[in-house]
Amino acid sequence: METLTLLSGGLTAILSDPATLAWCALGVTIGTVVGALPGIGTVTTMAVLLPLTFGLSPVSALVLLVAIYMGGMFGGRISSILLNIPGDASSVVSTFDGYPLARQGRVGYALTLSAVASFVGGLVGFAGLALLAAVLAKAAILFGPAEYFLLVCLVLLLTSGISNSTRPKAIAAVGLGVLVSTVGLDRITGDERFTWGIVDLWDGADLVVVAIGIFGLSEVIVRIRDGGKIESTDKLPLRSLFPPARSVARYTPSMARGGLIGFLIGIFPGAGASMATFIAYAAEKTFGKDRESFGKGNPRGLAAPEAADNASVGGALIPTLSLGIPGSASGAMILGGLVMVGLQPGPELFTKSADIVWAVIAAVLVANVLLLVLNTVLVPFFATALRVISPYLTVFIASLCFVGVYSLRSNFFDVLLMVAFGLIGYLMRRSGYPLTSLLLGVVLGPMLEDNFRRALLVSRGDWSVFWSSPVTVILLTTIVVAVVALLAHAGWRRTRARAERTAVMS
Amino acid sequence: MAGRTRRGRVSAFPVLACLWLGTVVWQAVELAARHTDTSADLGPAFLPLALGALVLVLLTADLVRQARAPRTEPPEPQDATAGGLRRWFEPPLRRFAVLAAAAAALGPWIGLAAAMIVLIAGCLRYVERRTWTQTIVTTVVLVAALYVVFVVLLQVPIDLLPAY
Repeated sequence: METLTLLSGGLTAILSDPATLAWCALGVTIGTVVGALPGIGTVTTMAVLLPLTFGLSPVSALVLLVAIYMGGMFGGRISSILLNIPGDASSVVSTFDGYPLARQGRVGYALTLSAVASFVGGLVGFAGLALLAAVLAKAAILFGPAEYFLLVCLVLLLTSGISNSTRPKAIAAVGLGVLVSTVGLDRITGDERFTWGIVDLWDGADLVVVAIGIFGLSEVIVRIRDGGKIESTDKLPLRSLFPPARSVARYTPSMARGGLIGFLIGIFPGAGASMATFIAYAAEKTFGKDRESFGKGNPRGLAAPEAADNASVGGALIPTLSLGIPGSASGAMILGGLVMVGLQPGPELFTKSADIVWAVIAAVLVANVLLLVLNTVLVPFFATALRVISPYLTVFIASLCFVGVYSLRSNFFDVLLMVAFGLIGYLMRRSGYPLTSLLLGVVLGPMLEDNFRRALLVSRGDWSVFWSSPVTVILLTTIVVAVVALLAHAGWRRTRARAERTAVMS
Repeated sequence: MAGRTRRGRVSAFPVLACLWLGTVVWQAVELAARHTDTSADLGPAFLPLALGALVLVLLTADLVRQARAPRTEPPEPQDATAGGLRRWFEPPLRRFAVLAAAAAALGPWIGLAAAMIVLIAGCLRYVERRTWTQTIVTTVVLVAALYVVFVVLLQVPIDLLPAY
């Protein structure tokens, strides 16, 4: 009952303020359009558009960020279906059956089906977020410095373990991110660390500067390398773009299953939307009666992963809001937004700033409804906008990165630092080092170090503080199990690769 | 033309990261030597030193693996000059990197508005090879759009001109 009261308060805060509602509508529109552009992705969209929130009220700023997040998730599927080019990693699965449906002349059907599936998934995510976030925040009272340290360790470990890149590279990227976060004045002793005497670095590298650099500017560099063009020779007849609203409800069970999978996987740090979509697709294919038609335009193969993709947003927001620990790069952006408007993410957020946090949760629902309307009515517009904006996207993103970072504190050193991180991000992409791991290292680094040192200070140097409470025992056991599982998996892969090599040679 | 296989070529990121980490570890050792606090606090050098050493090992292992592994590389362009930097940043990327760094470095002297014009126009003309007409029209439209969004609509306090 209390949850419903708080939620209605959040909904009122958005719906009663035309400006906030307008920002929400703008966020979902921008998120959808930019998210639809191949290769840009939700995180890059959020990083590039983060500066748009600077002049807004806390509620409007956070609603805009959530709207962009949701819009980006919706938008990623458009280019997957229309062009067979995924808007981001989590939209890869949508190409499997989405593009074949489009090739069969059922573009409108595929887009409408995926929009409804995204809506259903978003609803599942929203319900889970509203029900579980506050509960988890209350449980967070059991967390002291030692528990937080172990939790951050677990998050970073899972992020490295589940990453697509090889694990040593992911661990190195996380480590580098943590080390980047140590640049500046030490928060406990005040010692200067790794600043090279540059006063501008005393406060360290700003999270926004790092995020815009490694995601936004490095994307620009990649686009320049690739020529910045979308290759598509297929002209789509306008008539095929209009959505037939019939027969979509038939696939609601697939959407609900996908939504549930997406939400549950979204909660786990590091798993992310990509893994949720793959598992949802695999589950549908495994348990479906018509598995032969998967990959050839089966609507269920499109509906389930799309629902999983959007449901993962609600799941990912749970640790971000209730514990202050982002489980994904998009969560880190929301966390950055919370910090920028002067809020401290974590359990106290639900007591001290309940109005704002429930407005954020309500924004998931409002954005979801707006997106459903937008994505069914404006399908022809998106298809056209995708082709018109694309040629000038490189220079548009670059200029937005510059102005955005400069507007943080009117300091060109930040811009120079952003350029440096842009080049680093590009080199990381080329070398196969995951950007998300670096960003999570930067975000969670201060929490890792501060809680580690604080735990030992509180216990007067007694290291048993890390295994003396029930929560620490559970976390430590989970870490040990995760490490053993990751090592066993690595060993199994190595053995299998060796066996395959031997088989090829013989 | 077929690509060729060669050993000993490594990617740029681990090399640069190792160099930076070397300075981090070195400074952390100095910091640890200076740290005389006898309380339970591990001090500001502990985490950078421990983590820096671990990451250094991982990056070095990656470099060794890359150096040992034979890789097939695409044929090099005829007009290319030799050198490691060229391999890591192809000409358009180099032009963009120089433009972006120059715009950021000149910013304090020429102001944000001029820096943006340098970046956008330079990028359109010299990186993307657009015509002068396209360059001028796009630059004007984009700078105006950014001004309207950030300064007029969002009222973000941005200094468009140099401070002096």
